[in-house]
Amino acid sequence: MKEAQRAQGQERDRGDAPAPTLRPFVNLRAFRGGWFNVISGTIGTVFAAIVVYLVVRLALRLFFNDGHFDTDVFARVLAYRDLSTILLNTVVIVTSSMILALVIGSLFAWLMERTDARIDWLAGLLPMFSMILLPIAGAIGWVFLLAPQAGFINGMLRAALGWFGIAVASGPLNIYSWPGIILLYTAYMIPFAFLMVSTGLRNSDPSMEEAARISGASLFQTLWQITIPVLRPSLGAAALYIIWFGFSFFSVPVVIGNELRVRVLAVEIVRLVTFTYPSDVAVAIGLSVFLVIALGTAWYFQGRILRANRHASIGGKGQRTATLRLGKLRVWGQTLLIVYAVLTFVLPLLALILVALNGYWTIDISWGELNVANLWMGATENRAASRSLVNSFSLAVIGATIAMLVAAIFSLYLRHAHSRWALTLDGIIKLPSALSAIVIGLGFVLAFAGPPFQLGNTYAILLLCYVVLFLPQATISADAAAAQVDKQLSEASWVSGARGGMTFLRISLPLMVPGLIAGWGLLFVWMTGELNASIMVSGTRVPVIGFQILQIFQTGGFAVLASLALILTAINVVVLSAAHVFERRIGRGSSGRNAALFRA
Amino acid sequence: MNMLDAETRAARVFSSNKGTGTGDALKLRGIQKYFKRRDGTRVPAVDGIDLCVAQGEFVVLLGPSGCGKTTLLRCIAGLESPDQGVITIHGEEHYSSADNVDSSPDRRKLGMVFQSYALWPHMKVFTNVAYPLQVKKVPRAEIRERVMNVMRTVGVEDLAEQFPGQLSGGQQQRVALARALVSSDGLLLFDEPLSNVDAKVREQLRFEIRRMQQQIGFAAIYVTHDQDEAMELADRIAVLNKGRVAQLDSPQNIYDKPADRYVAKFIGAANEVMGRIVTLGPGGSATVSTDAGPITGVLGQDDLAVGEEVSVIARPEKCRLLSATTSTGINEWAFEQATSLFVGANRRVVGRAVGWGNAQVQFSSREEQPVLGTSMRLHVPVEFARIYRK
Repeated sequence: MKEAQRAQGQERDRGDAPAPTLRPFVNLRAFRGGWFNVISGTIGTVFAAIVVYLVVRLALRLFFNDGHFDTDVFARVLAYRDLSTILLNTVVIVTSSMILALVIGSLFAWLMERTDARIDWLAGLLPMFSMILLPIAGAIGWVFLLAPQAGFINGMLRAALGWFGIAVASGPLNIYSWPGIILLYTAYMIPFAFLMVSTGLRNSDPSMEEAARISGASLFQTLWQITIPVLRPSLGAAALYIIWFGFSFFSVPVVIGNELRVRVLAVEIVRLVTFTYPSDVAVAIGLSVFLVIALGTAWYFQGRILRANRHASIGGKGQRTATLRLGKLRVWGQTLLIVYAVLTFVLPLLALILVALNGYWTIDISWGELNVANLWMGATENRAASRSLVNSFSLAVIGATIAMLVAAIFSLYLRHAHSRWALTLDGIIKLPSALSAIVIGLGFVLAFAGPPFQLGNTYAILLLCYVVLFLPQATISADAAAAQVDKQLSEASWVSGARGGMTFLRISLPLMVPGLIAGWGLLFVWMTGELNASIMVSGTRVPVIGFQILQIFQTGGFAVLASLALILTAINVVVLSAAHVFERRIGRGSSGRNAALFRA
Repeated sequence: MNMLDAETRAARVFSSNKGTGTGDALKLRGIQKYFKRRDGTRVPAVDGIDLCVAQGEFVVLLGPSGCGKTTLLRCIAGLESPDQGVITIHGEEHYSSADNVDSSPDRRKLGMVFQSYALWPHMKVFTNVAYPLQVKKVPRAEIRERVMNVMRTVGVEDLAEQFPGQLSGGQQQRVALARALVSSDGLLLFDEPLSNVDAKVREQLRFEIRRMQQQIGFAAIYVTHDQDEAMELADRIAVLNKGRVAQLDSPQNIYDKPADRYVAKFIGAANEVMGRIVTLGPGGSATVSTDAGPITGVLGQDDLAVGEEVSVIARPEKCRLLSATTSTGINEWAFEQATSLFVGANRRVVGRAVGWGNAQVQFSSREEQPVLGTSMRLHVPVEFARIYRK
């Protein structure tokens, strides 16, 4: 209709023109963004379409079977063996470890942000420990340390008790216990609380606390009446992330839970898809509805907290505050921080190293026969292990690069287009981060493994899954990188005669590189460590490290898995430090003064 | 600088000679641009602007922030799309709502100097200037020659190997100008380019831009909110008010004969009193009844009628202070002096006159000045009391 009117208008206008000129297509209004804009929009649309397709397939499977509406899935889910126990276990574990994590994480954040117990080098590292050392490897490391019979720490404790004449056959500590599983969950949840509360503390005005102290409030009163209320939104966000993480956390319960006979939701879903024959994807999807309900509830409450606490964001940024002197407590504060690093990273890493060096897991280490070559021999001589290493490494390199490039192109598109369509695409592309990796993994199994795509057990499905799964995080990095680049810089290029593609290659991309590299490093580490989705999607044909470590653990090849975990940890450390150094070096260049570094 | 020299220089700077021929460099017809508010209402940012810029002409768009001047400039560049109208650059239609044409900025062959200069920090100065030619796939040797030529003209030939981060504000400004010259076919757009440099450099650069413009002969659209800058640079000034051209004229006419009350109040300082026209006299004079009593002045707008509500505006430097004994017998008020402000070359006396509120009178410093505290009378000569529709 509109088109017709416009065409008529054109004809009328051209009627009095001497000769209608043939306008080149590129001058038409609809095409003013150029080919690059078309391509960017298409890329965004394709990835958004994949997400929509996944979600639609999942939703359809819940209500339809072979084209007929039925509620069979729900019936089977409700009849699922021990369903209520599984749900109860999950809720109890996530809730109790969440409370612990919030308390400890906030304490850490407060120590680091507001007091003289701050340890500078730990600030950036503290949230990274749980990423650098794969959670599944960390959990197994703790099994090596605290298994009732062969745990290294238990062995030492028994020896110590022996001196006092107390003889015990096993224990005294046991990782295969409720405290064990809850504490391990807590360890991996603390970074979320630490990061969120640190940010909250940094953005809130410290003079509010200073005013309270000057008005005569004690340290504890200030904390209770001022700091915590102000931090409510941050704590809410932390809780949301923890719930998001906790309900789909798989590494710890699969390692500890089996032995303890405690079943949780995430493990059940994965088991139905991967470790059951024939696999029961429908019930797995049905069970994942509980996951989505938990996440939805968390989002709802987070939204309410944010709305109720708008005042909390008031206050300037970046004020320097006199750090609180803790006196004698300072040493204790720092000790706490170090202990966390030792428990989550150093001790399990040492246990893994010891097992790898020794060649097998035993409590009676023959110290003279430790062989350094075992560190890499274990993994490289095992064909499945070395294949998984190669797979994970190449998937992470390619996947992180694709995701980062797509994200860079898309965030520039978003900045320039501003259309409702672009904003919609952005919302859809970011959806996978709101759902859980388990849900996305299930979606891939359902939507891509079978017909019409038949991508089951292929490298391609894993790659696509990683890109879709981590695109939200990639766009967050890319958005930040794009925001660093003044819009006038790309406009100047456009006016200078360069079209979108050229402007992207020569202006926007080079200027975004520092931010993109930092984002790439994180994506790489996340992708090598991905377990939830890959375990369902990849199967045994294309093994990835996390899955391989789990399988080796279940068959008892402890030295091989230790070696594999150590090699991956080393790679992660190298990649993250390289990205960090690189970002620092050229990042400084882009700000002007040392622009010469750009030549490199 | 003779004509021939200017022409050969221009030929070496621009890619084609379009910009140095005759005809209009830019023609705007009925340009409209709306912004949508959150509640859905459409607010005009540019509200029907017609403008012609001749080859080699320097036109300044002047107005307060929010008057639509930058939006208009961005529409010309193609960085934003108008909703109505026609934009013709060097005789080529680049936007037309009727013909559904809206070419992208890269096809408009313009040069633009941005407020932040927008030099690319990761490229050397040479590459920054050469970029417009590189993307047009001009042969290497030619690029080198033309870039060095322009850089010499602008006075930055020594900086070719530097990075923008190593330059001063003034140098960056020159490089940005060089890049705009290279990219353009003879029409340059300036988006408040001098608002980021300090006063001293600003004056120097203003002078240089004008000198180069006359030497090379490009046409320019220059956006600013600074009236001194506008006065100094422009062949013609377009004063914008709420998306419309309030007056388009030479700087002198804009100053001496503002077209309406808005322009009169926006340009320069103004003493103002409100009233109603009582009688119309010969030669465009009129008498206005005001709070300050009857004032005789000249009509600023032709179509004013008896009984219309008007404002009488008198510039401080056109007002006089008389001693109590002398009198002209017309447009005089008792003046109670409050302060005397020394403003460089001038001195401004501020005081109260009945009906005028705080009135200002400006003297050049060497002129004889009244002694503080003596009783005086404010006098506005009839020809400088200009009457405008309220």
